[in-house]
Amino acid sequence: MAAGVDPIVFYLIIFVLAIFVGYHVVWSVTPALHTPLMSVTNAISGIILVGAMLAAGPVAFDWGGWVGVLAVALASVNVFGGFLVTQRMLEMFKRKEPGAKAAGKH
Amino acid sequence: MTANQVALWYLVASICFILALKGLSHPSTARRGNILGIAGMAIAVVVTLALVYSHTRNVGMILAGIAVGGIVGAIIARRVKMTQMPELVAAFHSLVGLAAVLIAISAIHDPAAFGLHVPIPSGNRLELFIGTFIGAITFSGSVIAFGKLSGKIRSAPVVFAGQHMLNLALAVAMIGFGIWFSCRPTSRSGCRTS
Repeated sequence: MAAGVDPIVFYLIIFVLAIFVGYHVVWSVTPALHTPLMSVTNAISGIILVGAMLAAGPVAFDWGGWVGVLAVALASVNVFGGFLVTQRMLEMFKRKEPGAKAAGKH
Repeated sequence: MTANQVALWYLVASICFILALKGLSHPSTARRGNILGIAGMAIAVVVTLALVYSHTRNVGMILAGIAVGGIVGAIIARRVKMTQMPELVAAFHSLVGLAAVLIAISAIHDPAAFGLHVPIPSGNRLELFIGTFIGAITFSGSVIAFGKLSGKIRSAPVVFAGQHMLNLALAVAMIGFGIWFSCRPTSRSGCRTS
């Protein structure tokens, strides 16, 4: 990064750009896909697992490490459950696909 | 693994997530989108595991946490009925909010595990405050959403006298505590960005 740019400003830039990406990526979503999209977005929010992993692997493992392990487990429920549930929804969608394009909404 | 390598792998994971969301916008690409999401998550987790292993070697408890959480999540995802999907997503989402709060607590307890300076700079404390703030609202909001979607709580809005004033007071109090937490000069953590 450019020398002299405060990391906070750098993170703010990423944050603002990510808002634009999110907005444009989901803008044209088909109504029938609202629930699976919500589900996969929730699964991706499980990326907080990465932060939890840092908390759960400190040099000296004390109660802070246990708090981290709990966070890892909670985030993992979301990651595994979220992607599997999305997959189940999309399988249902696939079976209905011949008629789904005509219906287009729930 | 160097910090730059880790950051570049996180970039790859981020691109996978953007493509996953894009894929989920159209029926023909939806399944590929979900697989890209799984790939991005796998990359992020493996890289982080390698990072922690290279620093502390303490990855046993992380793997145990992932195993327990993963099994619970997989069982719930397989057993739930299709009609219960929206409330399930709300319930899952509350866990993310709770995890965010727990991570902030752990980070303040042991800043070094996150690569933070030991008197945590005020900029990082502001980030921790925002993370906790949003995480806690995500938790309580998702629990209420789960209750309403599953019919355990009445869907009608809860209204009572002085509600807006109470909400305003809570918001002011939270922001006030956040500023105090981020800027208070104490012997342990002075309000400097150095």
